[in-house]
Amino acid sequence: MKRSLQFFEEHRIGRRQLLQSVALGGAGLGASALLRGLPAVGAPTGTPIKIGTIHDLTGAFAVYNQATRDIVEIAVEEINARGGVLGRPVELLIRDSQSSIDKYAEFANELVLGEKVAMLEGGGSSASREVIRQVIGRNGGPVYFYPAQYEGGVCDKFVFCSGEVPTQQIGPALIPYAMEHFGGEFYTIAADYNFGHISSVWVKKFVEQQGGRVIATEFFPLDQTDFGSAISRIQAARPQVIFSLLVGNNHLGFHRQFAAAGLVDKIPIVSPVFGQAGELTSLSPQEYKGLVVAFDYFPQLDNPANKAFLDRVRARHGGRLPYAIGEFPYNIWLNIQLWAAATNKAASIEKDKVIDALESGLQLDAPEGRVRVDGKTHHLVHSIHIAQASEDRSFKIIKTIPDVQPSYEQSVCDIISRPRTHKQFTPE
Amino acid sequence: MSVERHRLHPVEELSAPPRYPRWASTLILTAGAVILNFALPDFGLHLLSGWLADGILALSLAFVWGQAGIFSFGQPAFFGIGGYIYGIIAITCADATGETVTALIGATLAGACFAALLAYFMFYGRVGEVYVGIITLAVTLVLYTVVGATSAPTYRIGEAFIGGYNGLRPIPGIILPGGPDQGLTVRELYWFVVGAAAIVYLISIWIAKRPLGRVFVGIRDNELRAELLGYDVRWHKLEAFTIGGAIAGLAGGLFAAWAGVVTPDVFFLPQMALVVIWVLVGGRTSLVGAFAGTLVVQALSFKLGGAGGIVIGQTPLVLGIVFVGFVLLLPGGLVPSAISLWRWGQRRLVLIKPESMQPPAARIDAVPTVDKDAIGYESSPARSRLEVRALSKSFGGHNAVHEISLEFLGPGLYCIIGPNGAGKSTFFNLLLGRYPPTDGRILLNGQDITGAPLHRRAHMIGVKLQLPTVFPGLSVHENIWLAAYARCRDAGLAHRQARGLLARVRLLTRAGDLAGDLSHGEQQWLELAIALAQNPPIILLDEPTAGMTRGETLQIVPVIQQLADRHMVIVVEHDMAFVDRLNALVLVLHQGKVFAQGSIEDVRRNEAVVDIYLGRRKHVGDS
Amino acid sequence: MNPDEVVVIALTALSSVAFLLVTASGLAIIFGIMRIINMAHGEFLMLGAFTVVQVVRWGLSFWLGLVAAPLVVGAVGLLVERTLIRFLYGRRLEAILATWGVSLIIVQSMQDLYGPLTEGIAPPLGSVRIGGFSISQYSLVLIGFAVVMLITMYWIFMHTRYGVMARAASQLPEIAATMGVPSERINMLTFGLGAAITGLGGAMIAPLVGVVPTMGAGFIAQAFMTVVTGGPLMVTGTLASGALLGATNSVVSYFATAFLGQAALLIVAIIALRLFPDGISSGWKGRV
Repeated sequence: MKRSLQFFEEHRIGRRQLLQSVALGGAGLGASALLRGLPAVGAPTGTPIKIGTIHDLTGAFAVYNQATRDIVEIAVEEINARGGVLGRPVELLIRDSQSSIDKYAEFANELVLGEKVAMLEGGGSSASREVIRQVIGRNGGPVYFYPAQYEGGVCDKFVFCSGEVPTQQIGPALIPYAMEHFGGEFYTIAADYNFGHISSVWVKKFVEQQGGRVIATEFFPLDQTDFGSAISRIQAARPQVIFSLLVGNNHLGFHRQFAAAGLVDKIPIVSPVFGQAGELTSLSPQEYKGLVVAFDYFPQLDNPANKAFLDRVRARHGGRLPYAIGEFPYNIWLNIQLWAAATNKAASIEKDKVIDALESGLQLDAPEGRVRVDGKTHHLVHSIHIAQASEDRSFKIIKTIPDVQPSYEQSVCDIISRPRTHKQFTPE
Repeated sequence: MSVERHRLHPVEELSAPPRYPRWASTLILTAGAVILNFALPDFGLHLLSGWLADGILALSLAFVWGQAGIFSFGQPAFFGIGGYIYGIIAITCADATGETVTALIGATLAGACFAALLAYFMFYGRVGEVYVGIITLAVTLVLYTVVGATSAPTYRIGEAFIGGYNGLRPIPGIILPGGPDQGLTVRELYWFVVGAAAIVYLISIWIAKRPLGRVFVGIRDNELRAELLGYDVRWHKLEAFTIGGAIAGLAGGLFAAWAGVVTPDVFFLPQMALVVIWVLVGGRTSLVGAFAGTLVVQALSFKLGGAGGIVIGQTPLVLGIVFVGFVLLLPGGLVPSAISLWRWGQRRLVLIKPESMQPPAARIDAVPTVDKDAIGYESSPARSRLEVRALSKSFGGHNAVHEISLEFLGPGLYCIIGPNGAGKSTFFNLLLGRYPPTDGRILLNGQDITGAPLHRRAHMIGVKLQLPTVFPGLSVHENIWLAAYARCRDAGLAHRQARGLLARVRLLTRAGDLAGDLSHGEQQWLELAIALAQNPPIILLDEPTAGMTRGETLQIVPVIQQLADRHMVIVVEHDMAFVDRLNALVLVLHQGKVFAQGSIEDVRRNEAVVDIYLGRRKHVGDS
Repeated sequence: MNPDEVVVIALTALSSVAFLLVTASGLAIIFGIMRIINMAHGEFLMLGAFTVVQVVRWGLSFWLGLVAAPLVVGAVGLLVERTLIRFLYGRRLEAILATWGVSLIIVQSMQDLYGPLTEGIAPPLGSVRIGGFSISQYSLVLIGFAVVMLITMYWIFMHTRYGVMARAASQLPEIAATMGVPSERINMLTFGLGAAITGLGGAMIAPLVGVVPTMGAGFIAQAFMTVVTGGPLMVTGTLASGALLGATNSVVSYFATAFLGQAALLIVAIIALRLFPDGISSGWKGRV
């Protein structure tokens, strides 16, 4: 199995003895199969460094976390295969928050106070992030990585957000594409919560900036399943393109009902969220035809790093990919790699030094392309890919925009000069 | 007296509150809290603090549901309101006041106020049981949607941004007045929460044992009967609901202080269901069970979430199997089952003979037996006059009662007879106040009581209904006690009166048994005792001999006649042999009107009366 | 507002009502007759939806799936009743805990079997134009389905031996028992029937929603609200409350926002229960 040499250069890893894998439970068998082909690298020794991850493996949000367990275990195995962090093995503590906000609080407390993990990774919804942030804040650390694409604006010394933000997906990618290919009359449909509200504000800003018009913005409660009236209203408004910020399984009904009304061919839809909850599996190709999305990662990306990444997943499942890996599990993987890279660069697991290493502009060649930590904002400069849903239940990448900055965050947040910042900014 | 008597009546949902030595639970819990302080590391205590706050929320439901019979999905609403209010007050004021205890008080009051408001809407509108559940469900969901829509920065109070679905944060922890500014440490918070939980628990136990608590249980068991005894049921339900709201609000404040953030998830369905689950696991009728159930469920799901191996990722399956197992194997919940087991063990292992197992004593401390003759509470019989003028009641065109004008004088004995459909029951219910008359007036001692609600008439008019309406989940003694207490509002006096009446109706040996376990005839005697305990000047008896044996019927005649010496007694009856012996003034009703009056001999000789009973054409008029 | 728009609003409202009715009717049976709060109601809907999806995946017709769904879910209902519910008739409120446990077991089992995602099915018919609007034919067909479902329920409860006995047993259990109504069997059949109808409802809405193991939770609150607001008459009461709440939601959503539509539904339910404390149909003369 080849690895990108650049990757190793970043981490300054030398040759060591035979590998050793750190497995958790059922991962042991997969790991041994996985590691057969790896080059001989020094085995990590010494007391393990504990890291914790909290995700909704069961419950209503399990649909986002199909790949999560595999991904976190793969990430840690890879790191240990390369000699661990600071020569020590990494021990992964996985927690299932069961789609319950309270459990996030409980496990965050357990991992931070009890297990004293060196790094915490986790969260799905923004609410869960806030709950974890509160625990981190109360305890002055450790460093926390949040993987999900979200509404943007978090500016916190201890927190790093690897997810895409609206000023990366919406402004530079989706809006220009939509205006160029579909027209400037937009109709926004959004989930009725923070992410939907704030993103729709961005949609309006960017659309107007680029010479278009948002005819109307509609919000739908998260448990809405019946979209009949909405579909009628959309038809009455005659937009040229629909910007969808609908989230969750209940909102899947919109696409079904929209297609049933025969509108899929009539009004194109663009979305920065569609596809993360397995929509391409649940819907039939006629129902999602032509839908355009933009993320930092697609499994279809064609580069050596991604191939290696996907091969690792395949190795655990007898050579095939049992599920589509979207940007959410990818970001989770990225979190762990970033932390390991930063810790090795800092030559210490002490939180302040690791943060400094990250803030220095740590860079990785990752499956998405080149990704860099933006030190001032604690967000990532991503490569954003625009893709279109295709008949074979996958996304075809249309365009790639490298080095997309988190511009809003950069305009309001400077953690390097103001290290005591722990808040979230929202645009008016 | 065998063990089976203490089991629930199979038809009845409600069980008597588990009775165990008071000191047992307090001792166990205190010991537990202390041991855990030393056994667990910091994070364990921190987790426990959160779970205890949850437990207080569960306690609020156990109180309103187990004690007062109000099934509410709304406790999370008060919990959430308490959390948000604590957060808002703490964020905006903590710097100025240097403490957050006022925020906690604010949370409690907010919970109480909102609960009172909701209770007023629900109970004064006379909404039925399950419907309270649905309304509280709907209200809580409305809160979820409304609070969730507050994501814009404009939704703020001072520095407290409500935050929509992201929640309100950062919320300061508990800061005591005069204490350090950073607030309590993890260990200190643990003791604070333990203390708060203990206080709330003890207060609710105290309420449960007080007369007010017994009234709540009575209302839970048989709301109609409680109202007929003179208890203002709607007000008491509001009281119970408000107390529940206060407890939930306090829990919410504690939780907000613990977590440092409150999100609208607290108002959503999973939280609502979870509180009910906690209470059911612990045992609905047990207040300490609320904590037990909460700890078991929360600890179990915590353990499963960190399990690893094949178990992680299967949490719902395991929990589901556990819950089903609980229901099948531990009926009634953890605590009641544990108590049954303990008693079973006591009997088996300690080899005590069944006969010497005394039934659990009545909650009120025992008082020496009362002299039988000391039952008359007033020295002289009350004189009363009940007058109805042109009283009418029609149900959608059918005149059940048609312009009846009568005058009853008390003390005295009246008997109303008539064929089926004559309007006897309707007339009774009009006197009671169960429905308002379509026309006409009712005057009691010259005062117009036509519009007076049920519970206000109860002091003057007592009733024994046709179908037994006792409090099946309460002991025989408590049934009578509730009636006596409604009148004298003195727990000790009511206790003595109850024992006296028990002797009089010969149910003294059944004093500790559940009223639901009595035979039909025994329940009739119990009802009579209840009516006597009310000691109203006017007593209505609706078919008092229904279900009685011939022997019992003969026994009751002198009792009623004695009653009539001191009260105005109006009896509705079918049993002619009984009416014969009664020696009362007889009124014959037919098609809603008074057809004939007189002594039983006069009435018997009246051809027309015989005709209407036999349905002969002559006197079958239009209706 | 042109006539097209009026027609579309009306049809959309009817379709919303139908959606509500097919998802709530089974609960009306179980709660109406047995007074059991079935927390696994959403899961019965989900199982019905999965049945029809699986049938279609096997290459068979959607309509066959509609027939299979009530049979499959009815069987599941019978199983649940025999192994669990029948021990709970003296303690109905504990059925909440028991059925909650069942719901957790069913959801996780389906997630383990099928994975958290499933390939769903698209609505089998096309769309139809009304003036400047087009609506899906299936949503209109759903209206027909709802009517058929209600008529079937009416027929079952008025014209079959089971139905008459079930109604008697629900109103006066002890008297019915003395008249020889076998309450155990009635309860078993009722729970099975309620589950079957719910499964059928789930199958009917499967082409309109995302079919995943956790889909049930989104329906349970509105179903309960519809049933309880409807009152004692299972068919006419549920129809009345479904019409009231569904139309309110749909129309308010159209003219205002979806959020207000949902809030309006909740508020109307609250008001209806205030005015009719035992449900809308509590004073009605009908028999079912």
